[in-house]
Amino acid sequence: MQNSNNTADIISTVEFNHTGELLATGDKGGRVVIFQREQESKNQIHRRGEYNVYSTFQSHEPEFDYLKSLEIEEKINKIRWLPQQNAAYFLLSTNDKTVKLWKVSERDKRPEGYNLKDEEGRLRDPATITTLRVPVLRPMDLMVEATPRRVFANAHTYHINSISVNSDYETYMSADDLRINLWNFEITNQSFNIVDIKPANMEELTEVITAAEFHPHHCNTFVYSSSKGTIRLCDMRASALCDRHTKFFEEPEDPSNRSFFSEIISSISDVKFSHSGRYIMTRDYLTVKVWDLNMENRPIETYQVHDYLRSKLCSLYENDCIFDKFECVWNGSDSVIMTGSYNNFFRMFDRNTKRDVTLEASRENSKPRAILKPRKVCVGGKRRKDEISVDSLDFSKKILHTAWHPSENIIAVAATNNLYIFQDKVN
Amino acid sequence: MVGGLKRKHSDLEEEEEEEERWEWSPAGLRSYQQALLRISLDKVQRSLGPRAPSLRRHVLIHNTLQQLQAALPLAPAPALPPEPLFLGEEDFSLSATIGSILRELETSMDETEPPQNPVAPLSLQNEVPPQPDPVFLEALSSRYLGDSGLDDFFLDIDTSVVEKEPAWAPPEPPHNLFCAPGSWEWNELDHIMEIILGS
Repeated sequence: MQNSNNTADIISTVEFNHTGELLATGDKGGRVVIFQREQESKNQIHRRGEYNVYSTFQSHEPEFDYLKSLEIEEKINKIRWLPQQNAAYFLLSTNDKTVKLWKVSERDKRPEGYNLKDEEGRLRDPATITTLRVPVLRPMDLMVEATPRRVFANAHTYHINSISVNSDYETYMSADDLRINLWNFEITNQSFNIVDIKPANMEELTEVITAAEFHPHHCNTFVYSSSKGTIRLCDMRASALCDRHTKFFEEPEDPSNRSFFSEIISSISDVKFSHSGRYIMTRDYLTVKVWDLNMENRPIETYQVHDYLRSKLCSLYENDCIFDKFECVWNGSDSVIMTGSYNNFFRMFDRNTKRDVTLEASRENSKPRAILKPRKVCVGGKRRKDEISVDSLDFSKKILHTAWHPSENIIAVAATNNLYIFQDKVN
Repeated sequence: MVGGLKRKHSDLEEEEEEEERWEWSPAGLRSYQQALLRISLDKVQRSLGPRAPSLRRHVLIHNTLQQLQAALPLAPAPALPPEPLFLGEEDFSLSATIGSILRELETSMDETEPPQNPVAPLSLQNEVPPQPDPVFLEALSSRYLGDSGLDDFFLDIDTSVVEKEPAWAPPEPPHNLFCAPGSWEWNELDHIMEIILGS
């Protein structure tokens, strides 16, 4: 959709709202773009609603911390929608340091016929006013405005990686590398610290928080993942500071796969509860894992995203790709999971049939109404005609952010500075 | 950023192919480990910049460095050596470099211990800047909100070239050890000369 080589346009987060009517993207330049699905018209029943730009606004600006001589990037790390409670839409957007609550609302009428102001808004000379009239609302072209309603600042020393709205809709949490804070939407000058893993001596630091999320139904429960491949589930009723976990999820290491990179590739880049709340899904460098909340010692399912990279870890360490943070998502019924890879490939795994598919998001392959063709990576031996060899993969084309419509088979895939929206084929 | 330095890349690819064929000679393993060490140290150096470095990335690289250091048969485990061990010329410089960087990270946290210049051959000083970078280290420091750490912040900045008299009296001599006009020793001598001439 955007066709520039400007790094500010690199999409850094994608999120559908709770109904799927809206899709928000955040980018490296601190902007938020919201797409709205067009209403399906009765005349064209076979044509699914398309997403068009609804609102664009600058959420965060670059800042400079003079005390520490550090730049604070305006890049939007995460966007999370609040459930809709009135005509307006609300979302949280965050960069490394500051979370903001935005209200997005429509205006399609404007008042006309003021007594004290003229049509341009200039004050009228009171001496010239001889009659009194009641202003009326007249229709105008639809205007969508975004206003910042709350700014939650100065609560994070380290970089914010996650935000998550609680199911009570009154609170949310923000997580940085070492701490997690709980906020009330109404209160911006105070937050409660609920997790703190900062050691007394920073030299002893060996593990950071990588992602965190509230349980979809239990407002007292949340999980957070770490750079050592562990997940902790915490209950806020147990104590104010949730330094002790209620559950600890970790898979024992496979000794045959041990290497200098074992820890780096075990680092969890994303954690997501299933819609049902019974499972969590984690993404590490090479796999996606599904865990049952009742079983802490190993995942119930493990899916290989791009195992052919296992023999390339040293090169991927050298060029920094090994630190890429891929996200993962569930479909609405928790039966399919999706995550991105390199070369603009993304992968879907059907948990029931155990089938998986690799697809590509690129201009060449995606004319409107075109059907995506499955792709295959050739790992050795003879390469078939349509296959691509591991050495030909473009590691600069990475799909880190994807989203799945809450109830339909519509997915949004961010490929660097382009957004692709794919829908199920309609007969 | 894909590929990195061409020469090293092909070296590593060779190593990786060897890994696949399970033909690890001790020399091959050793050179692989040293290549990883070089890359890791390079990353630590390059994570300096105007933006606060990613703590996650730093921790992962640091943990990997510790593993490598432990695996190198002649280097001791994570505890820092008081002085670099003579391991053979190449190992000497690598160990010293890790040691110096880890030591500087440690001293930036500890307010009481002044940062010391690691004893290292002159060639090493050309590759590795001896001063800890305050921007990088600040990110790790627990004194993030600047309550008491500002003095340490300025310890490594030698402002003697630009000032007539030292505005902050440094608690110890600056790191460039030669006595140049404008340096604090020069000012001291000036001061002494004035006193002598005055009397």
